[in-house]
Amino acid sequence: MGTDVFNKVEKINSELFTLTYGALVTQLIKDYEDIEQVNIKLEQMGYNIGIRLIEEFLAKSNIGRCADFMETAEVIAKVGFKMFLGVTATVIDQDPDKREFHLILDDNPLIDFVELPEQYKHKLYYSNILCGVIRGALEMVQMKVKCTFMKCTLSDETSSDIKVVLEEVLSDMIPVGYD
Amino acid sequence: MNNNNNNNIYQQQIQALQQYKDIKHSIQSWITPKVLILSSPSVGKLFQKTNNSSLHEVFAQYVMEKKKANFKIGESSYDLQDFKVNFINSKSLDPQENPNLFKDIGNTVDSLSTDEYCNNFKLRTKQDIPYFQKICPEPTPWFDKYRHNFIRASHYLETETFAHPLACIIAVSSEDQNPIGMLVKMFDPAKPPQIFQQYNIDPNIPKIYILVHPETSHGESDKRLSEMKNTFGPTVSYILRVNTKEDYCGLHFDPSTAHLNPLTLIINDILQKHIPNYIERSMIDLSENIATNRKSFFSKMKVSFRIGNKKNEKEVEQDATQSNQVSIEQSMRKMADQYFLLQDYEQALSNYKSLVKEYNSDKSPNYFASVNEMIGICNFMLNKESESYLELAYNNYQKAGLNHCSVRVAFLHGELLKRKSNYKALSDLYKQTAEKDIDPFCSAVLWEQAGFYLMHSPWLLFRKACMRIVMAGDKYSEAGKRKHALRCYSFSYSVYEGRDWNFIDDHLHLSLVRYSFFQGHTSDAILFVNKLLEKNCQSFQKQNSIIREFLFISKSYTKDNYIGELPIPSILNDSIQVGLNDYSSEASKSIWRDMEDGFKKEAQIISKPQLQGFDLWRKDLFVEAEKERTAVVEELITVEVEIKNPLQIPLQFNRVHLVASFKDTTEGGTQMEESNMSPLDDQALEKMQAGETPFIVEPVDLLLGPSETKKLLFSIQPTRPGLLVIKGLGLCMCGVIWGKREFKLKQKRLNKTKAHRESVMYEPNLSLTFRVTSPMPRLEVQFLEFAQSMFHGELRQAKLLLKNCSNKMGLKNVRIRLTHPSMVCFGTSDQDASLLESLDSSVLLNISLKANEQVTIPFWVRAIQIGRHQLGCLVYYESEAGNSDLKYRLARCQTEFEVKPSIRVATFSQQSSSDLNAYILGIEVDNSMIGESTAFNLAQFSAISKFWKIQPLSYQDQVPNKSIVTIKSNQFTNLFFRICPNLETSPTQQQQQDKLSITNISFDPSLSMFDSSSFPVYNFLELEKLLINYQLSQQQQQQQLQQQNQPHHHTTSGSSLSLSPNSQQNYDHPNHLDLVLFWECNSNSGSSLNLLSGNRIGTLNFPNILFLPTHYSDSALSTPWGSWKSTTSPSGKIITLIDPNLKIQLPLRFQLHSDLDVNHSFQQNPLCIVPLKLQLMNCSFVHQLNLTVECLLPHENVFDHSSTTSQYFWTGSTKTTIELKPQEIVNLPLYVCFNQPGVYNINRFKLSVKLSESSKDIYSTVQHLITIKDT
Amino acid sequence: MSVLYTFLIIGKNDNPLYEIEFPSSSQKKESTYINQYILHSSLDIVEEHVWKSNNMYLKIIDKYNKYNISSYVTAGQIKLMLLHEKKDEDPIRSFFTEVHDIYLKYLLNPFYTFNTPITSPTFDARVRKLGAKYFF
Repeated sequence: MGTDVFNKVEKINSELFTLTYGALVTQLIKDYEDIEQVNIKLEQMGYNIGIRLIEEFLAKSNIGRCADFMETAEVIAKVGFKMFLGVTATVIDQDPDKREFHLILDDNPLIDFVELPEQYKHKLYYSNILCGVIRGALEMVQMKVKCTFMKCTLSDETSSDIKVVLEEVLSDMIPVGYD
Repeated sequence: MNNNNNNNIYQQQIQALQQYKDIKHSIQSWITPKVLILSSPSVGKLFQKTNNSSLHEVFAQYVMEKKKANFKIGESSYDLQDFKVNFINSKSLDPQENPNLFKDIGNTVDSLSTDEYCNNFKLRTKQDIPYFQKICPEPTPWFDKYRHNFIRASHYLETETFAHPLACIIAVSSEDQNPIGMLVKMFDPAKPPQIFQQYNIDPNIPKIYILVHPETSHGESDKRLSEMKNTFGPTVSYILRVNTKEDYCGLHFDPSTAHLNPLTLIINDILQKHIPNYIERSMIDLSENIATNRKSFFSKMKVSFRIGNKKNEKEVEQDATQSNQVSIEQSMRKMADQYFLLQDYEQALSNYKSLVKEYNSDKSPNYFASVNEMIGICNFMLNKESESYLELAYNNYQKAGLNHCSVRVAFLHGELLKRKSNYKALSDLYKQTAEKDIDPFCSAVLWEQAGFYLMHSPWLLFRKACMRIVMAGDKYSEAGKRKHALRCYSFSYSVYEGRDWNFIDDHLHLSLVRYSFFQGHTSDAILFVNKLLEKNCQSFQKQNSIIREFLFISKSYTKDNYIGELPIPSILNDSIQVGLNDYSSEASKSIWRDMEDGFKKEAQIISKPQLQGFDLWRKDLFVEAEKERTAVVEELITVEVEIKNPLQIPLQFNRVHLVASFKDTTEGGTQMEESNMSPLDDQALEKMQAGETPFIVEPVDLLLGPSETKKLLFSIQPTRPGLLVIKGLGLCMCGVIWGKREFKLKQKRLNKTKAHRESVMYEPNLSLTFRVTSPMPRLEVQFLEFAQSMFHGELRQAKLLLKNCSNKMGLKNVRIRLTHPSMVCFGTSDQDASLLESLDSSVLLNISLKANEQVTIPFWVRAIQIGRHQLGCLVYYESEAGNSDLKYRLARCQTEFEVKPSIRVATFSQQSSSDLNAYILGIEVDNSMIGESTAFNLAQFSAISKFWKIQPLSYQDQVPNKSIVTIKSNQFTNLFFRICPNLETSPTQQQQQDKLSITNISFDPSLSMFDSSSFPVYNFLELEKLLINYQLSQQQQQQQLQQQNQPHHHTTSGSSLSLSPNSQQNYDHPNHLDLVLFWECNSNSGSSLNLLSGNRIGTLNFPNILFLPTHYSDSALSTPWGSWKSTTSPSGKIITLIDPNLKIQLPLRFQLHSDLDVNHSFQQNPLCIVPLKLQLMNCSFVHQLNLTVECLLPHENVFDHSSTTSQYFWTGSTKTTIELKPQEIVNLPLYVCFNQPGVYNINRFKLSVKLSESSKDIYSTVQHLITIKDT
Repeated sequence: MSVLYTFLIIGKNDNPLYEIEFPSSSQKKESTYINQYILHSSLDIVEEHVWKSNNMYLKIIDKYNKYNISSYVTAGQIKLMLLHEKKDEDPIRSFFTEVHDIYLKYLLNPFYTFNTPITSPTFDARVRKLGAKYFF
């Protein structure tokens, strides 16, 4: 499923992509000098990407309405990531009442070559933009989620782990003023 | 004026230097006849007196204009225009003395040495070099002079004969007794001084005998002189009169008339008679000697070649040749040398050339070398090609290990290379030479030259150059020439500076520290020490010495031992934590923040905007700008900080204290800045104790082990209102020097506006800036007698201790906020305190405390929620005096307690069938505490309601027996009550709407009743209601969420749901009451905190128990037994299961009354008419009901039974319209008529109620059977 | 044992980016500071050679007494310098080239700013491995 969508979308040089993102993050750090701020900013950028990306996503991968949140999870992991990052994530420990799940990224093109300096470890969530993207995208389909990095391989942790919690289901109102 | 002088002097120096540039001059002054001067000790003493010179120096000083001299060698004759001699003493001949000799040479140029090549020039890149060469064409002016002196003084007795004296002056003082004997002894040709034999210097040189005669002495000089003349011959005997004072000894002549100088005569004789004679003579014997020996020499060679076996013989012969005074080579050499002396370079050259064949580089490299050298020099003098020879000479000197000779050659060769401007080769030559084991100063000079010549090389190899200059520096320091050393280091430092070559930097810094200190540039020294310590990649010992040096230097330099910013120790700035009374520490912030914000609002102090929903994502735009915090005079501010020792050696610091600056901002107060940046030495300390300083700090001593980190707590106490800024730490290092370390707080980078983003701007970090305000009362708060563990619902009394610690100020309007507002009620059982109207408001205690006053406030705790709890209490108070800076202050205290489950109660209610307006209430109590031995006794049961009261049903006598109301663990019991309207408070009397009716039912006569309507029970009930409403509203949001989660609801479901929470309609619904169940249990904890002594009691509240008007056709109400159940779950949360649509029922109840058995004789009257009473009631308290009662005619068969069923008829009015006021009961008379006996079910009537919009038809579904008997 | 090899990466501004000695010696001996001087000073020669030749590996460019200095200059004018006693071309050449590769990889790390000291432990580890591979 994910792969053929992946084949549909056009590609760019991965190194260019990675370096661009790297430059972005480091510039943010230069400008803010405050890792907490940087995390937030990244998340916001992601959000702004997400609310646009979802359109393309739905268009390219003609995926219908999900039965429940867990299906959403699978779609994100298998189709969404594949389509835009060329990798797939695995969904783990979903809680019984289907309100949260974890995405495990075993391969993340954003962090190729990246080596986090000691002082940033466990502070900076380098790929935090992903959280934003997920949040933004889901918000466009009336799911207000909280999306946070639990673990990050860059901080010498076993895996990259994104936690997604469903906070509320929105009624059909279009959020305005998000750029 | 003075300058001019200096300039002149400098000019003169330059002039003087010019002569040294010409290397030929150097050569000539080296290769020139030497005259040995031997003087008796007493003579030595004599001349000691005048600035301890010596006789030979006196001669040396003696300036001579160019002397002519002429020689006849064979047929050719030379007359030299300028002929001079070097006077030497025996010491300068002795090779042992060489090292000192070189030292002296080095010292000759000290006057020229500078400590920088040219000031404020920094060499960073290639491009700087041309500039440097422009502004500083001659960095090392002393070099030429040094070279000159070096060449001049250098000699190598073994191979060259230039050092061999050609004449000898022997001097005695006329004060010696028997001078003649001495003179003879001092130089005896038979056995000349040791050196002469060693290097077989010809002893038969002309000797000049001088009698030094001090005028003061009485010895008759002339007699002595004549004696001398007799013994030695008149031509060689002289007298030298000197006039001596006790301190001075000078030659006896008038300087203006130089020719009168007694020395002139002597020297002239030497130059014009003695030496020429000697040379002429020696040339002759030399040539003879050579002539004679040459044959034997060659024959010897032949022999040695032809007859190998005649070895011994040959050796013998050789011994012979050895033994006869001079070997042929030596004489040849000597001859050549003397030609050279006579400046007949051609001759000399030819001689050397022929001589060089005799040697070869393997057997005797030194001879070979020195001859080649001479050839080179000759060629040079004749301006012929000479390099090759010099190279040969150089290499062979190296081979022979004659480094100093090689240096000399290097100098010569270098000159040549320089002329050909082959700088690279030149530089390498010097480098190579410098690396040899030679006099350090010499090698230093060479290194330095090597360096600078590299800069001239086409590639401008400045890095290499600098390295060489550094090497020069090392050598200079080895030679103890600090000025030179410093110059070299500081010059090349600029190349490495700031390019972090760690080792190089260390090396340079270290040296720079030393030498700039020695040269008195102490500020630089300190600068470099700092750099050194910052880097610190040195070894343990090194650091030790550095520190020692550092301390020493800075001590000897700084005034009152204060040196400003210290390089060590390092402060971990992130670890800085400020402790201040009114502010919660970072750690516990989470607990207090909300309550603090609450108070802020109450005190109308703007706080950060409340964000929610979509705005959260840009919360960074809404962060509150930091304001400096407010401290209070005479209250401690504590600063916790971690300090690290970066070095590998222990460091000791004394009197470590906070350093701060203080600004007096009181109106009218001058804006003076005070600060104790100066060391906290004793008098500063006294001043502080005396309270003259605007703040008081607490010094501590500190010892930091190698790379140890310590966490320290410092405190500062402001003594005046103003602005206090904590700058850093002041400390006394190793008890020697004072310095400070500044705190560098992380500042927040500003990024809000465009300006911010474009430039780098920081928000000032004010966490160490304090607005010190005038004294304020300080309140300390503390829980007293607070139970650590309680049962669910238990009521306990506790106390809150408020203590005003200030001894001046009083405080007023104390307000309190709690983390668990619904658990606490302030006040005692008799007088209750102000009651909360909403959970997020604060309790105002009308307390005001004078200075040092304290008060304990009793309060009630009721355990509502099971589990562990952190009860935090935030107390707000204001100063009685009032304070603009600090409107209010906050005190904090907290305690922890546990709530264990107790009994659990479920209630249920249902309408009573016996009475129109009565209901049945059941409660089910069970002791859920499994395993726990505690038994709970139900003490009392109270109902609180506007209109209702309850009566016990389940027992007849006025108390149930104990067994029912005592509940052991795992038991449960049911009690039933009847709810009926409380007439005196029926709502019809409007005036007493709000009066509550309270029914208390005691289960234990021994206990007096609790008044449920009063404090604290009632208050807790209220609180609990608040809590429940809160929770309900929460629940509802949850529920909505739940319902929306089904994705297919996405579009619509949200809006369709009724959002009204139960709580609302519970209120407007009249039919509810609040129940309070009192339990007590006698647990062994004999605490006296109870309502009544002994037992622990608690209440369980069930607010809003609903019981509803029923209607037969009402689906919602036709639920079975146990409807409207509500339970108190252990979690303390009350679950009320009520259908949200309840408010659309009919508050209508009706009942049919009549006598059920009727005897009637149908004979007398065929029709039996029975009166009925239809009782209609409107249970509502608000709405009035309009309804029509219609009796259905029999033939209109509602329920189509079999036709057999006997009929009855209505009589009288069969349709009535009634209007029912709220709570009104109407009895509607009806008449039914039977025509035969039987059992009749009277239910054929219809009630149609007019509702606002529609009307609702109700058919009776309840049987009302009447039995008719015929009599 | 004496230090046989000293390896330095030197930035555009003559600033050392990375230094290591084979076999790595924990205690600092005085020689090390001389080594730095030597390597620094032979930068001059490197510059000369850079003009002359157009391949990155410049063989042995300089001598200091018993030491030889080999150099390798990247396109970005980053100079890899090796101070060694033994004259064995090939391992040195390949050592240089592989270190160059690692360096290029490391350059892609957004947190590494060009021409600043390389502190990354992983980089260090890799270089050590290479050193062990080629020099012992």
